[in-house]
Amino acid sequence: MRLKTLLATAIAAAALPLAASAQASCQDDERLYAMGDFLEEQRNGTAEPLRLTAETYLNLTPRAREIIGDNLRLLDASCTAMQVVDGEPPVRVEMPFPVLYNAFESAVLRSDERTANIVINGFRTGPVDSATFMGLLTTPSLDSEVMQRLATSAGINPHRGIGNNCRHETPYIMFADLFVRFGGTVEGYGTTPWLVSGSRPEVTSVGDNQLTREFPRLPNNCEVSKESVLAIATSAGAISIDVGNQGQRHWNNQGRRAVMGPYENWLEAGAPDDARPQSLFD
Amino acid sequence: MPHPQARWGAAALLGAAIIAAPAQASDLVKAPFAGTPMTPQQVQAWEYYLADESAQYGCQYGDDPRLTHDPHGTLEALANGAEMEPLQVTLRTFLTAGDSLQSLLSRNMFIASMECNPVYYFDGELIGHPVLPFEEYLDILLHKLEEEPSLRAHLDFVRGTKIAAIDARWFWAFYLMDRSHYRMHGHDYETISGLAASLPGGLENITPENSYWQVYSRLFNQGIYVADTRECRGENAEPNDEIIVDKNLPWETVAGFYQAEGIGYRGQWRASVQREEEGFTLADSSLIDEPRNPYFNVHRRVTIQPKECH
Repeated sequence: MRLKTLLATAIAAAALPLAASAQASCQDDERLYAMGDFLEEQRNGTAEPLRLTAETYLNLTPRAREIIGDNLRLLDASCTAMQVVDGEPPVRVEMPFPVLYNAFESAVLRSDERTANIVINGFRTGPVDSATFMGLLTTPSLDSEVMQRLATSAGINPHRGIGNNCRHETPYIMFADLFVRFGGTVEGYGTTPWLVSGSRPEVTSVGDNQLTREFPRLPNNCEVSKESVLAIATSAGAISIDVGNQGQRHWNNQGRRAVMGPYENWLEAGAPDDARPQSLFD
Repeated sequence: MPHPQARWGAAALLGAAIIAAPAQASDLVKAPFAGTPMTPQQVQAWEYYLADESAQYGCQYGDDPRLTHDPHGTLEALANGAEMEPLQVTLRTFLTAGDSLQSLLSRNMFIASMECNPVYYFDGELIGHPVLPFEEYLDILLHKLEEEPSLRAHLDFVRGTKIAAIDARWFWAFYLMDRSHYRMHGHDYETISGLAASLPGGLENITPENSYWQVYSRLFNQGIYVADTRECRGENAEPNDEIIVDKNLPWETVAGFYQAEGIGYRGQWRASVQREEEGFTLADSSLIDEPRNPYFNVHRRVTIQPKECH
């Protein structure tokens, strides 16, 4: 069963207002309220291109896409109209992650591969701060089949649940996997963010008031692996640090002590992008 | 502005819609649970849920008031191409309108969605995915299946729409019940369990207590949740006495539902039942001082927490 999704809790605080403000200034073409008139004009060859927000454009049915064809203008996040070529944007259009995720999930569940591919190839999402990124470290569904379908359509390999009591193969993905697939990156507050995980199923953002987030739960008594979380963080552009698996190697104990010194040294050195964790701990 | 020829066409449609079928035009709007034995309190509670859930997304779900208060005048204005705000029409109202009325409505309308996302009607198809209340979704799907029993014939509807998110307490108040209470929805168990069995999903046993739940879970849904539980301290409120009518519903059924949905709970209640004027109620309960809304104002010694609090 799906969670009360989307972004309703975890990423809503930061991401949805962005989506709302971007979309609020943009309105769909009023002719969408009376498509019969548009179709007639289209048949007569007198129809001006339809102006569609990305949200509406990504919800076109395959038949509507075919009929409207290239006679539309896509409104990007700043409401700039863009011509489409063969029904698709000629360059990747930046849109907020929730808009893209909603369209992608909907397309996948409708088995509309064309639209799913348009989301991946025709759009990208912008950078987010580390707090927002931490909110994306949750699963979009508790249904393994749904997650497998999302992963397959996105062309990513799902992670596998771990744990001593994990008796069934339990593939999972997180919103963050799709965020990275959509071209998203994480930015710190003026620096590359550090994300740290140790012996507890949690991850801490060092520069973000040491915000800690527990890993999401999985079905079948399985757990999210630390490696998957840190790998996504790395893919998103963060510096990811594994402080080990021994009992006290977690953020509120030895983990914090191990990391804060190198972190402060790194800040004093001007937060060089090319300094990797290994060199920092030498 | 509509094309003049299109306007003439619309005027002709108005004749077909109103002059030939005045009852159809005046009975245009289809209300939730219309024609069922639901009590007024239950219907009001459901309307409260629709208003509350859609308000979270910034709109009010339902048919445009102009269609309720002045259907003839509104349709006439549509036919005449009068300047007017587009009409918000629920999918059920639109689909149950005759062809002529559909043609008129589609002159200037959009389809209502519980999540307020734009949904337009396009030559027999929808642009966008309306998020529908479970009651309306079921009503539409069951009508479609009556006309054509194969689910395969209705994949466009199943894939193109979603069922709205619903608070677990609303769900159990309306959709957890024993076999004898299916008539409250105007349904019978065989129909609902047959629908559940025809949908792809797990291999769980379909029972009278869970068949609506199985249907909800196996369709494209926005999830069952518990919201606003005072920063995870737990929420005492349970649905109001007036909307609980299944005297046979044991606590274990509700507990199993909460557990399966990942909603933490503490405590339990016993289904001690008393007969009252409006039907049967669970007697083992007391009102709470500050209800979250008029329909969650009963304390049965159970606290629940949303999934996010675990």
